[in-house]
Amino acid sequence: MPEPAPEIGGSDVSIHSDGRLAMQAAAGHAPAFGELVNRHSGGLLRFLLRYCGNLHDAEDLLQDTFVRAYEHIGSYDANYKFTTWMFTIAWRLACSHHRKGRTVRINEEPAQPLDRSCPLGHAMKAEQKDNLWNTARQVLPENQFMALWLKYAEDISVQEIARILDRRPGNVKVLLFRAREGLYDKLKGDEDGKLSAGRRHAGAVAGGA
Amino acid sequence: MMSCDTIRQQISGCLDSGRPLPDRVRDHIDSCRPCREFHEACRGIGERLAADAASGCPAVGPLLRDAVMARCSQVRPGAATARNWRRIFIRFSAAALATAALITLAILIRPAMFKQPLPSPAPVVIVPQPHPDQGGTRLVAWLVSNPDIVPQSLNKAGQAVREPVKQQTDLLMKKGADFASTLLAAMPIKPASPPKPQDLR
Repeated sequence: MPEPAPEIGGSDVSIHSDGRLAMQAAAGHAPAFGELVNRHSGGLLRFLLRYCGNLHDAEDLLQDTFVRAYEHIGSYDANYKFTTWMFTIAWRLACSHHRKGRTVRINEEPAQPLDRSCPLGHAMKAEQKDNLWNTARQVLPENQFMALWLKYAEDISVQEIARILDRRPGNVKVLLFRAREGLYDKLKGDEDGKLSAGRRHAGAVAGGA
Repeated sequence: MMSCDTIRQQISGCLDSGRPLPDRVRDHIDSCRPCREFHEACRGIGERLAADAASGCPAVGPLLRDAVMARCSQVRPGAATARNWRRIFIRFSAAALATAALITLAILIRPAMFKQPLPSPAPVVIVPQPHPDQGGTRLVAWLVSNPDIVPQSLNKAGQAVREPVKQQTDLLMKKGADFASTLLAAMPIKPASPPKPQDLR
C-alpha cells in the first residue's frame, strides 16, 4: 500500500518510517535526512570500521556514503529496506576505496599508530586482538566478509544480502558456507598450533627436569 | 551416503535459514566427529560474531553527524538522478553518432561490400556452321570434341534454358541428314536407295 504524500516540515520526524523520511528528504526536507543519518550512522560506522581497519578512513567513508545517498535519494525504492540501500552504497564505496589501495588491513600496522596513552586508542588496540571480526577480515575475501557481516552483525536475511551484493540467494549461501569454513579452519589451525606449542613446551620442561 | 562436504553445506544452510537439521544430517554428525565439531564451531562462531560486532566501536558523535549534514547541505537532494539521465542521454547520443559515422565510412570506402555480385557473362562460343559438302558431320565432330559446351535456347516463357549436348547433337544430325538427302535428290545419278539418318551416325 503506497504511503501518503510526505508532509514537508512535519513536527516530529523521529516517529516516521525510513521510507517516509526518504520521501521527505527527496522533497528537500533536510531534518528528515538528518533523522536517517541518526538512525543508520552507527551500524554503517561499525561495518566500515571493521572493513577498513582504521577509524579515520571509516569516518570518511561514512560521510561519503551519506552524501552519495542524499544525491541519489530520488532513486530509492521504498519497497525495499532503507538499510539494504545504505549498505549497498557503503559496500560499493568501501570496495572502491579498497581497490585504490587506501585501506589499511587489520594485520598491518597503520600509518599513524593508535596513541597508547589515549584510553580509547589503547582499548581499541587491545580489543582488535580478540575480536573475531578482525580475524575474519584477515582470512576471508571481501565478499565473504561482507556476507558474514550482514548476516551476523546486521541480522539481514539471505534475500536482502543477495540484493546488496548483487548476487543470487544461492550464491550468498555458498559465500556464507565458505566464510564459515574459512573461519573454522583458521580457528582450528590456531588451536592446533597452540596445542602443539604447549606439548613442545611441556616436553622441554620435562626434558629439563 | 552423503559426503562430509555436502553435510557441512547443509549445516551451513540450516544456520542461514534457522531451520532444524534434517534427520539424515543429524545421523551423520552423530557418527562423524569432524562434522560434529564443524557444526558446534559454526554455532559458536555465529554467536561470537554477533557479540563482537558492536564491541570496541565508538559511537557516532555529534561532530561526525554535523560534518555529514554540512556536506549534504552542499548538494541538492536527488541531483544525481537528473545528472545520471543527462549522462545516459549523452552516452546514447554519442554511441548513435559513432555508429552512423562508421556505417557512412564503410559505405564510402568499401562500396563493393554492399553490392550484390553480378553473374559472370556466359562465354561466347563460335559454333561452326554445317558445310554443304559435309552436312552435319563436321559440326557433330566438333561438338563431340568439345563436351563442355552446353548450348542455350529460349523456352516458351522466353527464359534461357540449358539443353544437354546430346539433344542438340541429335537435332543437328537430323538437319545434316536432311541436307544430304536434298543434295542427293538434286544429283543427276541417284543411288539405289537414299541414306537413312541412322546410317550417317
